[in-house]
This record gives sequence, structure tokens and C-alpha cells, in this order.
Amino acid sequence: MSSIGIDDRWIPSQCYMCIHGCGILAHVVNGVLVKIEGNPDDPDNMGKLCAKGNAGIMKLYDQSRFKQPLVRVNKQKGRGVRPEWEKVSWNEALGIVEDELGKIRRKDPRKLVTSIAEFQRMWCWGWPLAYGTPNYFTAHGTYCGSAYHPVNAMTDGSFATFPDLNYCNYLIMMGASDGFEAHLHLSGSAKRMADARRRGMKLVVVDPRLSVAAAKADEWVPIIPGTDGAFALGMMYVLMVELDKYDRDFLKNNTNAPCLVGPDGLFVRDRNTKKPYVWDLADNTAKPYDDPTLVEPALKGEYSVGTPAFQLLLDEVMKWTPEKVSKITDVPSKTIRRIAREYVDAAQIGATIKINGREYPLRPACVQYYRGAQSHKHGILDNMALKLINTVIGNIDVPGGHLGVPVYGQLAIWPGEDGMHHGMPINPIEKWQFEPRFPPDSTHLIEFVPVGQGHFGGGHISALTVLEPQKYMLNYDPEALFILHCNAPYNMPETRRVLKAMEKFRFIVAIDVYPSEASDYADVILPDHTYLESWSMCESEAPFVIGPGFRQPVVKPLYDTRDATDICTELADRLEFLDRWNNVLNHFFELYKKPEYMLEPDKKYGIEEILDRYFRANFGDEWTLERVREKGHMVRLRTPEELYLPYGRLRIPVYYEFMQSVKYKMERFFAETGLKWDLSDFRPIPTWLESPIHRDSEYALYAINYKSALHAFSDSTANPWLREIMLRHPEIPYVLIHSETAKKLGLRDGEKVRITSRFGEGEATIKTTEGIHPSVVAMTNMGHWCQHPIAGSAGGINHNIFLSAGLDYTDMATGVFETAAKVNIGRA
Amino acid sequence: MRVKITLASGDLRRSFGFFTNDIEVNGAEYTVEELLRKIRAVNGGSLAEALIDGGRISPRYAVFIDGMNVEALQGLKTRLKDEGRVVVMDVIARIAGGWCEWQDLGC
Repeated sequence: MSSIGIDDRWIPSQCYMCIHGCGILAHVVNGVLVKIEGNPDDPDNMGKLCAKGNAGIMKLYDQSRFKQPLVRVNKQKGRGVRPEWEKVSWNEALGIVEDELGKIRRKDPRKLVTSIAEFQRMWCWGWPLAYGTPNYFTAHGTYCGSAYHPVNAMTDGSFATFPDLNYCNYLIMMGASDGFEAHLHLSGSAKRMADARRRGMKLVVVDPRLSVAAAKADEWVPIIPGTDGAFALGMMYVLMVELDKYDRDFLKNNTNAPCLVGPDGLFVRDRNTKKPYVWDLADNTAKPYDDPTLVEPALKGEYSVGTPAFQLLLDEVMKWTPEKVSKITDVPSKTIRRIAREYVDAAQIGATIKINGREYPLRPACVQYYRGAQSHKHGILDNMALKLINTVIGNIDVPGGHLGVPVYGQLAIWPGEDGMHHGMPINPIEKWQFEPRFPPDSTHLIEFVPVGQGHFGGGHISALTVLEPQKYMLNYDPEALFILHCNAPYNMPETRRVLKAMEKFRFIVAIDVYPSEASDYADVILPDHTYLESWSMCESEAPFVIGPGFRQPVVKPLYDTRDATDICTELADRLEFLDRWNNVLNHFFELYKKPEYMLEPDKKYGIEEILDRYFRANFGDEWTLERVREKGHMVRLRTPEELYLPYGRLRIPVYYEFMQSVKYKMERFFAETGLKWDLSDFRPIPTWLESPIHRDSEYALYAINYKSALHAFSDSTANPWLREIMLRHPEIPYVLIHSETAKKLGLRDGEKVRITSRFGEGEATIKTTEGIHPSVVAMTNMGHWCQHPIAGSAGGINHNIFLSAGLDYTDMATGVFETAAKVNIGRA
Repeated sequence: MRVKITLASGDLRRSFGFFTNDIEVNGAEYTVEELLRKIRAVNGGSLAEALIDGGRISPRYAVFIDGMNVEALQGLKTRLKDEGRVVVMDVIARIAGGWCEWQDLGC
């Protein structure tokens, strides 16, 4: 409603209260933001918006925001130490940063470590490469999907996964909460999940905690943390050994399951074409997998030329009887058998469905999993097992099944030299060939942990190497840290060690919106706009839609802040690598598609102009920034052709040969250098291996953390609306413990307890519940100590203090670390 | 004429003690703000005091009067039926408190 003298507008933009960027409508009256709602025109979230998105208004009007550039006065640094900021001009602040980072760049640019978690301006992750450093020290790097993403990429070129809620009839969700509390595009996913449940989709949740998803499910199956991979192997045993039910046609014709593996663990290939051989049972000869005379490829058996990959998987699966798995997982064997039977029966192997005139396989059953199930000491193996429980029923990328989700655009899948899917992790650095190298260049040791997402994340391993560079074979000593919206001290495992690493940096610059545990260590603050004052575009892990959302300022900047991209550009100019930075931007925004829109190497461009060029280069000349502003987003639903088997019949792996070939490279390298390195995680077929937490009998309980729909990144607790809800929530402020366990320990509901692990200790209040496995305690990340008055006073406890950053708790193939701890609990 | 206003939806009813109000309207029409001022909590405060911040309904809350979103009605006269129904929703709490409820509602 507009009246005379009132400027009343609803402005479309994109949410940034989590990664995924729902479409929003911002209600602005006379320049004041008075409400945020979901944009019903955006097919991703369909007008829905979660609590975080609604509360975004309080991020804009947060009184604790950095309102101008700041320089630290108090030279002492440490937990709880006040920085004592002094206000300075932009020129003064940038001058200090230019001076410090300039000296380092001229000496050895690798001495700069970067801590970047800017998920909706991911081009900023390329700023370190332009500067000349390979180093990342970011909280997400090895925390979330460092093992999950590579296995997805190796399987179908995807980054993430999602159940096809359009057709799925039986969903098993393990250590995940899609559509309820967390993960991909929550607002839209919640709607799609509700529709699927209303349609009658059965939901089984396997989780140590009675999560919101479990509470809404048909069945909750409590499980010991870190044993989900074993559960998947047990299910496979039932399917493949006891029931003999799996999708033979799919495995023979759409995967490498029939390909013959030699004694070296590599495929037996045709010397000229590099195509793997299969064994044709029709005439008992070996032939290339696509030989036109091939009649009946063998899945089982052993042959003179080699063994079918499927037989090797079967050999491994034979070891995992439900009885054995039950002892590991604490899930009764009869439950494993029943769920496996229900799952494979629901899959309707052999069924097809016609969509838009095209026939697809219909497999309306899926196992979905995420961090809780697979971020563990041997995460790569857990991921492979959880992937294969899907693959063996033929549900990959088909209606009703397990859909691959790209980072943006389409799946990164194409034929390798043998004509099958290339089967490698997505590699953001083209020159990186998954080769170990000595000495390592990077603080996150990507040269020794080659399969993970460390290329653009790094993670906790940098905390080890920054503190002891020589021990980890670095030939330089890191000096400075560049922070862009990343809160490593709060978000990384083994807080004590990470804080020591933070104290070691001689100079820290932080680009951020308001105080965090990380910016409390900064020497210079360069204040960024909030997402409600700035420009951007983002497409990130959207299961059912494609195309970028669009962010535009809904109000003028409230303070003397600048856009983070523009700050990066200004620093690149001052530090004399503007040409390299513009190259990064040309690459990221794909401006090379229309060379007339490419950025010139020696010219500074503001983010508005870059976006204008981006839309014109990628969507056509007519899509000026003004036109996109009016439309509000460029998001559309994926077509069935884009959603289902977009790669046709290109074969995908059952046997991850890539892991075997990398293992050989690693073995050769470490034999030559004499270094010792654990290579047990490099396997082409999954198994289940114990984590140190499973062997640690000195500590009685597993401690897990969980994701609430209120949490994203580490700063949601700084939001007064969200904090109020958290503190009134019946579970979030507390550590959840089973009633019987509490009783055995002599603890009462509401009692204050002291929790200790090998790596840290803290105090918290317990909440007794029947909704958790008796051997487990659960907490969600609270426990801030930063200078932000709202976050810092919220109380609660941070799970990371109990975890280890050590390599003995790290998956040595991907760098993902053990995200469950072992603790003892007693009265405080 | 007295109109019975029922404050449906539990959020503020629980938090602030608003239950049911009988309002003497005498056939008059009220602006939404006037009406909210007439709805009194058990402690004597008005719904307007709880919800209105800087002259507008706080964006944290969604208020519906007889099914109409107050945000679209602010400043306008509204005619009450014999029994009005006011729904106040703490949007953040409602959504945070569970996707469960949201899903049950089919929103």
C-alpha cells in the first residue's frame, strides 16, 4: 500500500542467512527495512522462508556491526581479550594492509594464509590464488563434506545429493536432516518433504538423536556415531547375499561393475583404446565393455583375465553380516534385515516411468546421508558404502532415487579416456593432477591429502602446520592471515590448538560484518556491507532448480562499509596483482563466453559492473543488470531431462579405480621420500574401519553435535531474534543425555555438568531425554566467547572443544576429521 | 454491541497472557492499531504495546484479523463481525519451533 509521502516498496533479493540463497522480498518503507518474506516467484523456495531468513532484518540493524574501518590498539591477543579498536579512515586501513601483505608477497606469498567462508561470493575464494598463496585455513574445508563431495563427484559428477522427493516412496535418512532442519535449500526442501510425506512416502531416520526428522518419521533407528558405513554394508549383505535382489541390468549396462580388475587392483584395459575388459558369459571371452558382440557380461566369478568389479564388492560385502554389523552399530540384526528388505522392495527394480514422453527407470527408494553419517575418521569409506547402497538398486539420478546435485549448473560429468565417466573428484585447480609432492606447498597439505575439498577450504590441518611448519615439511613459516567471513577459532576442531595457531600469526586482517571469535584476533577490520546492502548472485547446490539467484541492496548502506568484492579488488590493485584478480573474475563469471564482456587486466571494476557483464555474457545481451533487478532472480525449475540421467548411459563407478591409482602414486612417493603416511583410506571398494573414538575406552560416552534449523555459519547466535528462540528452546541450550545414562551417573535433569575429552573440557547443563542413544550425548553449537554482546553472552557449549585436529583423527585421503568425540561427564 | 475477540494461535497468548477480550464497539469501525490497543493482556498491557514498534507491527510478528493480514490493513478501518478472531504469530518462533508444525499446516 502506498500513500502520499510514503515510499513503500517490496524489493526482490536473495537471502544470505545460510549458503543456499532463497528468494526473498524485502519490504522497505521510507528506506527502512520492515519485513522479509519468501519470494513466491522463486521456484526454489516457493515463497517459504525459514526462521533465519525472517530474522535477517536483525543482521542489518545489529548495533554491534563494524561501522567503519578499525585498527587494533591492544597488541595482546587471546581468548576473551578485547581488541580495543580505534576508528580510522578507509585509506589508512587499506594502507596498513597494503604495507603488510605487500612485504609478504614480495618475500614469499605462501606466508599468507587465508580464511575465507564467503559462500555467496565464491569468486573471493580465488583471491588467494591471484595473490600467489595456495593456503586455506577455513572452517568448512574439512568439516562438512570433504569426503562426501569427492565421492559424489567420482560417482556422477555431482557435488551434493538429494532424494527425488517427486517420486520417492521409501526414504532412509542417515545422519542428515534434509527437509527438516538442515542441508540443501531448507525452505523449499521442507515444502517438498511435506508434500512427499503427505503423498505417503515412508521415512526411516537412522540417527543417534531423535532429531526433528526422526520425530516426524515413520521409524527412528538409533545408531552408534561413526558406524553408518557399517550399517550400509550390512544392508548390502542382505540385498546382495541373502535376498539376491539388486539391479543387474543397471549394474551391467550403466556402471563399471562388470569390468575386470587385475591383481594390481586396476582395470584390465585394451592397450590401444584404454577401455576396460568385461567377461562375456556367452562365449567365455574377454571383450571391451562396449564391444558390439557382447551378450552377457559377467558380474560374478573369477576369470583368467581378471575379476569383475562387482565380485570384488561382493567379496567385501560378504564380511558384513547383519549380526556382525549389529555389534558395531547397536542396531538389531532383524531391524537391519527388515529395513533392507523394505528398501529393496520399495525400489521396484525393473519398473519404468514415462515423463514428458521419455521413459526412465523408476526406483522410488533412496538412502540420503550427510555430515552425521560420513564426517568421520574414515569418511571416504563411509561415503562409498552409503553411495553404493544406492547404486546397487540402480537409483542414481533416476525418478524416485538418489539425485546428484551440482554446485551450480549441470553435473560435472563427461567421458574419460576410456569412454566411461572420468570418475575423479571435481578439481577446481586445473593444474592439480592429484599428485603428491615434496615438499608440500600448502599449509593444508593438499599434496598429501589429495582427494578432499582442501583445494578451496583447507581446514584444520592448517592449524597443525601453522604451529609446527617444519614437522609437516613446509619450507616456510606462515606469518599473516586474511579473513573473509570465516570464524576458524569457533568452527574448527580442538579449539585450544586452533587458538594457539591464531596467536601465532603476526598480522591478521578481517573483512567482516560484526565481531566474531576470529575478528577478535584481527589487527585491521575492513567492514563489509551486509547482504541486504550489497550486490551479488549465487547458485549453490540446488536440487530441483537451476540458475542464479540475485542479490541487490534493499537499503542504502547504513554505515561507512564497503562491498567485500570491491575491497578485494582495491587490495589487488594496491598489491599490484589486479591483472591476476581480473583473470579470476573473468574465469568465475565465465565472461570469456563473450570476450567483449571480459574485464581488462589493468582496470578496476565495481561489483555492479561485473554483475552486469555476467548476466549479459551468460544470458544474452538483453539481460542488463536493470532488467535482472526487475525480474528479481534467474532461477527456474530443472526440466526432467536435466534432472534425470542427464548423462544418458555413460557408465558410472561401482569400483572407484581412481582411489587405487592415487594410492599407487602415494605409495611410490612415500617410498621414495622415506616419509610415513597412513594410506588405509585409499581403497577402490569400501570397508568399515574403526575410528579412534570406537577404541577409546577411557571415555564413556560419544559426544555429537547436531544442526538446528536456527543455526547457520557461526553467527546465527548473534541475531537477537534467533538467540531468543534458542534460549527458549527445550533442547538447544542443553546437552542431551539419555535418562537412564544420567541416572547411572547420578545426574539429574537440569543439573550442571563438567564434560571432558582428551582435547578439551567445558561446563554445560544437561537435559535428560529418551530421544537419544544411551551411549551418546548431543549438543548444538552455542558457547560463543567473542566480543559480540549477544553471541558472546548466549551461553551453551561449543562441541569443537572436545574434538581432535590431529591426523590420527583425520581421513588421510580427504582430510575430513572425526566429528564425534569421546567424553566423560560428571557433576560440575 | 460487544464483539468477542478471540486471540487464536498460542504464541503471544502463552507469552504475554492474551486470551479473550470483549470489546464494546457500538457499531464503530476501528483502525487496526486502535483495535490492537483495545485487546488487553491479563497484566493490563495492550496487544499494540506488545507488537507495535516504531508505529508499525514488528516484522517479527504476523497478525491476522478475521483472516486478513494486518500488514495490509495498517492505518485502515476494519469492520468486525460479531465474533472477531485475531491470530498473532511469532513468525520466528513458529518457524523455528519446527518445521513440524509448518509441515503439518502444509504451508
